[in-house]
Amino acid sequence: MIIKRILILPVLLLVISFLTFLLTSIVPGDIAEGIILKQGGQPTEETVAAMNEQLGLDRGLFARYGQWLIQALQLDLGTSWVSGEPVAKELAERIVPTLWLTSASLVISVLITMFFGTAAAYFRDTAVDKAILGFSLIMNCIPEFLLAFILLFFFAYKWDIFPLVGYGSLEHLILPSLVLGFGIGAGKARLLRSSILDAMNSNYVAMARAKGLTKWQALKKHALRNALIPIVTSFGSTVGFLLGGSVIIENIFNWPGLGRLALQAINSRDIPVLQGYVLFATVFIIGIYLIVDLLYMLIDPRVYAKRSNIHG
Amino acid sequence: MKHPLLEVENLSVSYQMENKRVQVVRDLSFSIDRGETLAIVGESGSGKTATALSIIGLLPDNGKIDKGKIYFDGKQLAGQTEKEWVEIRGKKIAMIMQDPMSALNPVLTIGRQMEEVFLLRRKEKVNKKRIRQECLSLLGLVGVTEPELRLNQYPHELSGGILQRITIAIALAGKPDLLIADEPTTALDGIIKKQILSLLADLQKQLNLSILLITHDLAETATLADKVLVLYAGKAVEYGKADLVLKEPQHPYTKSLLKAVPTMDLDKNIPLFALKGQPPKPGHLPPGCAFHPRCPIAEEKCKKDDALNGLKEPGPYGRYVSCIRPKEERKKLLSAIKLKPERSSKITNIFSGENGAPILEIHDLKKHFKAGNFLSRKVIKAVDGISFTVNSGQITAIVGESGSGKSTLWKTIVGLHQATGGEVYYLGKKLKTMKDKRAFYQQVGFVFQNASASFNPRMTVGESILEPLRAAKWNPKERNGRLERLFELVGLPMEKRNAYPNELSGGQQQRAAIARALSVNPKIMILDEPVSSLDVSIQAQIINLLKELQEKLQISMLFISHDLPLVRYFADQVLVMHHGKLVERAKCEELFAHPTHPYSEKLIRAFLPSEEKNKTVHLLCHSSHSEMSGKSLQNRERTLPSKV
Amino acid sequence: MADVKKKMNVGLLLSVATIACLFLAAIFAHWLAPYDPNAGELSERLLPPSKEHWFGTDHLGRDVFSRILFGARTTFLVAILITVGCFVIGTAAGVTAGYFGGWIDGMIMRAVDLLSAFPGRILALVIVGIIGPGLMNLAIAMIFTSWVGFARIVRGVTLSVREREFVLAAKLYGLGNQKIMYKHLLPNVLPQLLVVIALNTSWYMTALSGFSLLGLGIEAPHAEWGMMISEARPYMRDYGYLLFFPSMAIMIAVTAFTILGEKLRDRFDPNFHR
Repeated sequence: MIIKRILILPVLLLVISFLTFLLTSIVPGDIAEGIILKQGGQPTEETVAAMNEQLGLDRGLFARYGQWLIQALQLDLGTSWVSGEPVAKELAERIVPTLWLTSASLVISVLITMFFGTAAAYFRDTAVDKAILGFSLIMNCIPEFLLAFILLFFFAYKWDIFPLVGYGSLEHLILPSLVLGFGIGAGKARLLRSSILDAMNSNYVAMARAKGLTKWQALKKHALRNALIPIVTSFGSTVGFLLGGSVIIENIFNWPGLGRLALQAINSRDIPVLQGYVLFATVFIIGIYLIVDLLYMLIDPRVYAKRSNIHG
Repeated sequence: MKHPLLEVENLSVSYQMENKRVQVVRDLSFSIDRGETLAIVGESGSGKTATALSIIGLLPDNGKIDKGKIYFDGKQLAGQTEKEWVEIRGKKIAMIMQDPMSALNPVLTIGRQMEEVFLLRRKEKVNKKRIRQECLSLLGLVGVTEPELRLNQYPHELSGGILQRITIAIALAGKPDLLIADEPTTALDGIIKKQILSLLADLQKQLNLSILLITHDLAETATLADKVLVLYAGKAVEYGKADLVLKEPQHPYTKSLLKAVPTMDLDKNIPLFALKGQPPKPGHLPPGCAFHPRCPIAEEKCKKDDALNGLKEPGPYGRYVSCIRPKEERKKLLSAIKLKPERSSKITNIFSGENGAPILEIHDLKKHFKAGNFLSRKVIKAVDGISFTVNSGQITAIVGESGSGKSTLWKTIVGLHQATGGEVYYLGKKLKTMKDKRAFYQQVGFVFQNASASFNPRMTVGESILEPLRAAKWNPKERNGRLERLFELVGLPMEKRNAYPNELSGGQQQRAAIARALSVNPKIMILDEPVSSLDVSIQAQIINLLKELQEKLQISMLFISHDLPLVRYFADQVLVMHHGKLVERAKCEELFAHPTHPYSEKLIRAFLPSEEKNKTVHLLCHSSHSEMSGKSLQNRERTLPSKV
Repeated sequence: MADVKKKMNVGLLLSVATIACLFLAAIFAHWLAPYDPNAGELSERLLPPSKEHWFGTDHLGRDVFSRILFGARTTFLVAILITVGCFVIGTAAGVTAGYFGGWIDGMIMRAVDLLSAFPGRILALVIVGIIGPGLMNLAIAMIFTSWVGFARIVRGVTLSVREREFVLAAKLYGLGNQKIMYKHLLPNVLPQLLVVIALNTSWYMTALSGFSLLGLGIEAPHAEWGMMISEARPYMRDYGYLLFFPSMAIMIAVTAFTILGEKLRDRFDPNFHR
């Protein structure tokens, strides 16, 4: 399991970086022309050729990829076509805000998942359960940007509790991370609820209750840990999802993170920056998967056994 | 004043199903004294588990005690608050479950699950070392070897037998007065089953424990119980001292059940006694006495009067029988009918197969699985060099415990698994290519353990049965003719052809599976545990059907089973498998009379009545007293050490 | 029995009805819309809801109601297009992988692993960034990144169905691979697929609107719900209705599909009861 992941992820890194490279070579429209226009110059045959040479676009695809790869291994991601700054430096400036946002959202979503999921399962079929289910259904259905606007409308415009947009203080962090955290937490809470309910129906919970544990003790000590296994496994893809969501949320809240950088790069066709962003995202996700796998092994002792199962 | 430890009075339990309440336990009364074992015997759906769960206050959310009283040590339990229940569970009443694999939490160590019981009870600062000591001594008490090691292991690292011992240890940790054992051995293999039963008997003596045993297995009842309560459709049909009830059953249902259980002394030439029909589903009970449609001595009155309701017939030791007919009349009727089998003709000459031509020859067949990852490769030899021959018209049984490679063997024979080595000959021809194998297995009839899973839930039974023929390109008219013939052969009414699998009962599903197996006109049938998931009374019907078909159509059968009495009754040749190897191959009579391999002997012994309760040992055998042969009597009388 | 069924079907019926209405609105937007969605009268800008303009007008004086109808066409129909694309590719890949197993399974699943290990939205974003914005490019990017979800689920279900004894029985009685797939596997996989279809469609609508909001989807002046919300942003303090109506439209559509998916799951997933 974990070995397979470790082996597949460098391959993933290679394939995705190559994929982005491949895509750039089939880009419709001339990139050099576009950049010259953006820099306020006049695209003539010579200037375009010069720009192509400057960008390295005059060489073959594989040659360019090979060079990029070698440089990337040395943490040199090339220079931005737009700003002329090293890509690595541009990324480094943006990583911290994004990490703040994603980790705050993650914490919020975990809290929501645990609290709502457990409460709904414990109070199954009561008003509490129904209220949580209804609320989380709405939270699950509402697009992030919409939630962002609604929260902005009330908390920033109407009641003026939180600052509108921007970056720099804890108050600035609250609204965007609530938006991201709630959307994910609501979905996971529903998942956790049904996962706990499944576990509560199991024989080992019946056995625990026959031992004399109360319903709450049985839930806390026996059902919850088993129920968390699928949830923990799914948190790997959740972080990827958060990263995707941060593109939209960072743009709405003017958050100076990687998501905004990526969008700027897309709009200006700044391929090296885009490639750098993809590379960062891939490495980040790989790290998360590794952590999830380790966590998974911690909660589920059967992982070792599963590996040596025969499938005949 | 002396009162019984547990006294249940007029207990009625119902479950909320979809939009109606279904009564699963109706008006049940019984009692258990200190140090006494009561067995509640019944088929699936008879309400035995619901009874157990009400006594420990763990009915599911949709279940409810409608009326009745449960006195434990003089205290009313029914209607207690959750807080009061917590004081009872584990401390006064404990419970063990059917499947020990799922009864322990997979993600916690055995130690933590045991300690929990002690930690729960003591509010003050606890001494970890002492708790550990207590856990170890409990494990020793239930006969778990290497207790130190076990405490740090997880359930998936241990076998079913050890796990069941551990659940018993956990149940005993709170020093309960009453232990509810819900089918404690059903998920276990024969040898282990016997060990667990003798462990329970020992513990009961040692600790003066009361046991409420929930079971469908009359042999289990005979070994362990002092009193028996036979349940049918949620009601008690017979209740009394175990030796009396089992020796002289007075209710037609009890008597039929006893007759339907295959024992080690059945006469192979006489069909098994089978009750007609199937047990009613809860919520769909027939009017009057719920048993009347299946009762051999029912009369008009039984269709209206619910005898199970009122007419209890108190006898000595609180015995009662719920039957509308007066005792003497019933006795006469029961003995007069002699509970004749459904079929009158005696089976003749079924052993002709011994001289028949070989149908299937297996030479040194091997199937090895690779397991583990590239760090620790290992090879699992699921089938390891097996050779045997199946002659035409012969029934060959493959017996062995779970994990012995029985199922892998047949799958390798038909080519579902690529064999690692060895040859298979069908009708004298070697099966070499995949094409040969496909041609071969298309001519084999298959019946699996779980009939409902072997039908596509989205196809009607008729369609499913005809599918092999459609694959073999029969025309529609021929197919329909064949279907009628098949339904007649297996005793299914034609109108069931348009039913979906889940609309059939378990027995009917297995009949349909047999019909499908016969559709291709097979020379050989492979039956993988065909009756082990069926109730006893239905099991007998299916076995009789198979035997009848084998006689009529001269089909060879490969019968895979772990139920030795059944094999003894059913098979001509027996192969005993152990860890992928064939440890013994013999004619059926020879094997059971003189097993040569120690493992075969151990296996056979596990199915012989043991001596835990001397008084009840012979009871099961007496049920077929008149037909008993000298040889089997000899078998039965063999004495056994009380601890295996 | 009847009682319970009715209760269960209220949610189902409601969601199906909502989806049908939205679908019709999307198709017949031309007839239903009272105004040209893209032609604005600056003199009539930012009018509150009234008899003439049911949902008011936006900052360019365009009729919000008409724009929502046409927005339905964009959001809704493109989401369905994406779903169909993913369904076809994903089901084919998943059933093939699950049924045959072995190296075929290995190949397909490695591709699926690769694509799904990476967050789909970022990959789609990058693809759109490189091949350029626009509705069709967006659809292509989303199909490319999200067929794997279908493939994975279909493969899982196929595997579990394949292990069921009735498929083994069909194989033993000589049915060909194609027949088994078509007669035994698909009918048992389809119900669970319906669930995935419904849930994914709702997700595609959300994602599409999100991309439009970022300016990577439909180009102005065409109407799309996400873009309408984005355009309403500068005015939302005083003209809340500009935010309210497109938001409601998205919420209703997404919720309808989600509820549909969940109700279908309640019916099909755990055990099949006829």
